[in-house]
Amino acid sequence: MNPGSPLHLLVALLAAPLLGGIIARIKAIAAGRHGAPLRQPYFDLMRLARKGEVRGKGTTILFVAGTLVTLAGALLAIALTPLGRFPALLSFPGDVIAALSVLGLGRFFTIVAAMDTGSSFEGLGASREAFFSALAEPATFIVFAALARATGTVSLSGLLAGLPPAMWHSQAPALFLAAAALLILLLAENSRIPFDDPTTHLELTMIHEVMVLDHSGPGLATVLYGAALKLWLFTSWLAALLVPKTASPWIGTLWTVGTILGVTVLVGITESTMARLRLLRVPQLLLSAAALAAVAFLLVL
Amino acid sequence: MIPIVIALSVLLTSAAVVLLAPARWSDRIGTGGVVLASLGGLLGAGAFFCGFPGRPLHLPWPVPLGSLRLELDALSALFLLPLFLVALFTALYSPAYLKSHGDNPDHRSFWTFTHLLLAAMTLVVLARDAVFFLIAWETMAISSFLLVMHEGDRPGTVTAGWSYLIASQVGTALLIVFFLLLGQGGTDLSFTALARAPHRLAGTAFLLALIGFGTKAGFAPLHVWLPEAHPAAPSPTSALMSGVMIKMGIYGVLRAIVLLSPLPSWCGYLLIAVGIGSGLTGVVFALAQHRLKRLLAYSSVENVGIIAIGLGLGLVGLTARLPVMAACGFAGALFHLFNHALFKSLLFMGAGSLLATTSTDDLNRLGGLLRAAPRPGRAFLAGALSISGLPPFNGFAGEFLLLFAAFQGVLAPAQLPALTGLATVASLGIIGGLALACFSQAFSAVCLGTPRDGRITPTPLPQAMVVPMEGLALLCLLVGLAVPFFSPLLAPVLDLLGSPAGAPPLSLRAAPLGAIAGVSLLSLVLAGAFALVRRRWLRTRPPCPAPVWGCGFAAPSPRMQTSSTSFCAPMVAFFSGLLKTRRSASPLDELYPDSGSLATDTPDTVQSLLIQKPATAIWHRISHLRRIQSGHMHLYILYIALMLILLLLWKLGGRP
Repeated sequence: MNPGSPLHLLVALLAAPLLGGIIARIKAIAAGRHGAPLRQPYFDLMRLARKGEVRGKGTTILFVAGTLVTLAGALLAIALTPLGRFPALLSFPGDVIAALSVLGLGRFFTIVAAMDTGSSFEGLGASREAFFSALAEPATFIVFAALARATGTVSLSGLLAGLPPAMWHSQAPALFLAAAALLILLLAENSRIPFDDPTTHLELTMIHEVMVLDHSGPGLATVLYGAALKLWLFTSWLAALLVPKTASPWIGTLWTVGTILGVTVLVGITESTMARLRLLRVPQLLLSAAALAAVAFLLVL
Repeated sequence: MIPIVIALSVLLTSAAVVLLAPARWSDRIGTGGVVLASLGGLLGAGAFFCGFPGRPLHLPWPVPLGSLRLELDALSALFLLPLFLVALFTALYSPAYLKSHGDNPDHRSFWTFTHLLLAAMTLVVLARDAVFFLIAWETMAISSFLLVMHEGDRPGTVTAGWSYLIASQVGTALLIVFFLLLGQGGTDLSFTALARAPHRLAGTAFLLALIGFGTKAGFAPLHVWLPEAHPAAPSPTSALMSGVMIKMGIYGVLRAIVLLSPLPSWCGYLLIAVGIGSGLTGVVFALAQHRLKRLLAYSSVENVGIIAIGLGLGLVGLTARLPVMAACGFAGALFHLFNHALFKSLLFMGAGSLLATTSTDDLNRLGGLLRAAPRPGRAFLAGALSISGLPPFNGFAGEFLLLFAAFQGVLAPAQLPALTGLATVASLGIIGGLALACFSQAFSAVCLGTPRDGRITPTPLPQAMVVPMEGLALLCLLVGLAVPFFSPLLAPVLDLLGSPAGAPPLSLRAAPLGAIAGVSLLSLVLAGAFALVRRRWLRTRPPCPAPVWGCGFAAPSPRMQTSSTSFCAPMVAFFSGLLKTRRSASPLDELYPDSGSLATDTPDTVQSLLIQKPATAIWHRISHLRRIQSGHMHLYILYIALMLILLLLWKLGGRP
């Protein structure tokens, strides 16, 4: 095993909550406020972890299992994703399929945990999550198919180990389209604006947040940490696509981490400048992401 | 071979004994017969994979053109495994189900036809002669038709049975043409002779086989009988039909591929297109259903579509010289077929248990069964996870192989396989996503929350129904964790499919079977470890119960929960071009409204557009032909005489 392989898991476990802090800070600055410190998500997680838990009446073991399996899925997907030029902790041909499947496992359990409460609001969120993720799934697969065609491998460690700079010269339009599609998917899968507003105060308009309304204490901490890891995962995919291959793996990794933070800033700026889409528009945006990715595939054909 | 012949004789003997013995013994004799036969069959199939294929059986048989040839090859043995596994579990499940749900106290006919159906399916996969094959095929169709009619006095059962019988007969008619075309006018219709003959019309023959066998398999748009017949049949029969019998259609397509090889290159692309069409149609219609058994029937259409995609990927891989794609495509299809047999029969047993405890399978009325009946609830969850293709269950492994094959196509240097790979990857993605939505919803509607209909009071489920479900659930998990051990089972079939015409040998060495099992195991271990950590962390802080958040509404009622229909409503609206859902509502629109109601129903658009309308049109056109059918015997004799004279003249005139 490459000595740099466990690095990604380590960095992600430590730095994932930071991304949420960055986004919140940028939104605060855009709104003319000073905002909470960047470390605020860490404080929140620690505070929640020390609390006791309130369990909804009539919920089963699946209510708790949902939080744990989602976290496990996000963690496994990160273990399958490389950072910079270091191969991933687990890597085998076709691991991209496995990564998307474990994310699917997490989604299944989140939906089931939301339905477990029997609350009509959480069911509403679960229904939207199921629908929008089903539409995001083919788009994600097409993005990775285009990358697989461009790089000639079906392993994340090959796909995302940094494209040769020559490819950014010859295939720039295709890579740009793929990156745009991946950015849309990042926003959709992590319930960011314009798909979902994590800070809204009206349950009727939420998607992901409404599904986890009834979690509290350590359970909520698990949910928030899992969501942070998932955001890290998607930003690291996008960053790996954007950072060309460098001579030294360490410098490449530094560049990738820098790009991850850069992408997060971009997400923050998007959140500050855009309004949430009407829910009826969301499928159209997801289908256009699939279309962008398909055009990218045709360009590398 | 010998254990399988013994299993066959056990099945045929006990079919007769059940009929002759008193009715109160029928459950014991029936279960015993199937269990014995299944053990024999599994032993025989197992012996084949351990390297003891046994000699082919060739007995004299006085039927013209036919001969009684039985042979066990890799393909037959692979199909016998799910057949006897599912038969074993359904047989253990059936007695309790029939007792707690059936209206028909006499189970003798049920057991006789079940035995006949099992024997016929065994003969279908063993037969090596066209006439014998067709006889076994028809026995299978008729015995399953009679099983569908078991509860014939319920409304709708008779229509369902007829629709199944008609579809089945149309399929068989095409198969007769298929075999005659292959026989090319010869009298030897054994499979070896058919395979030897040069195939000038291989493409036409493949089309005939695809439609004929596809009717049984349930490829869209030939699937119309499935959503009628499966809900009408007793649940163990639905499990057997959906788990195994529709796979006989896939067996037929595979046998045709072996007999006709090498096939023209468009056949693979056609299969993929058919598969994508079936997969999408099946899953979209499944989403719109609120009766669990109908939903499961549509999901079978989806899953045979996925299997067809795999077979198509295999064929495309063969013609495009991409051995890894071909091997993974075929292997993925066969593995998914095996897995589907396990989890679909588990889910149908789950639906049967629902009918037994609550007398309904209407998802909009159910809820909270995981607390009322935790063990069957957990088994149902395992089935739902498997069918959604999620680790650590077996469905994940099969779908992984199929996606892997499609990604191999994406990497292919030629453009056509690459575009096919892209279309397949995207379609499998959306089919998988919608299947996840469909089954997370179905499980939640049945097992979580509280019953939407307060009148539902679940009665306890007998152990004899719970244990077979748990057995199948455990098997789904074990198969998912033991994927590498299936490579020696699939390898001989890959040899059979990839051998002719100097094609490169197919092997699964490039497929990451160990890694698939590894990911499954890791997901299980990680989730378990987190659960332990959580328990330790919260040791001193027991959870404090409180009502769930209802937006501050003071008087929530169970009917306000998200129902299956409301969960799926956005998706059903999105696909309204395909689904013509009918809504009948009495809205609440006055100041002091009466009680309102909403009912939705999604009829099969394919049935009305492609079958009913053309059939009615043809019926009207040709109805005046009925005049020749006057009912006078002497006129009929005149017709026969005229026909004979005409044939005689034709024969005389044709001779030089």
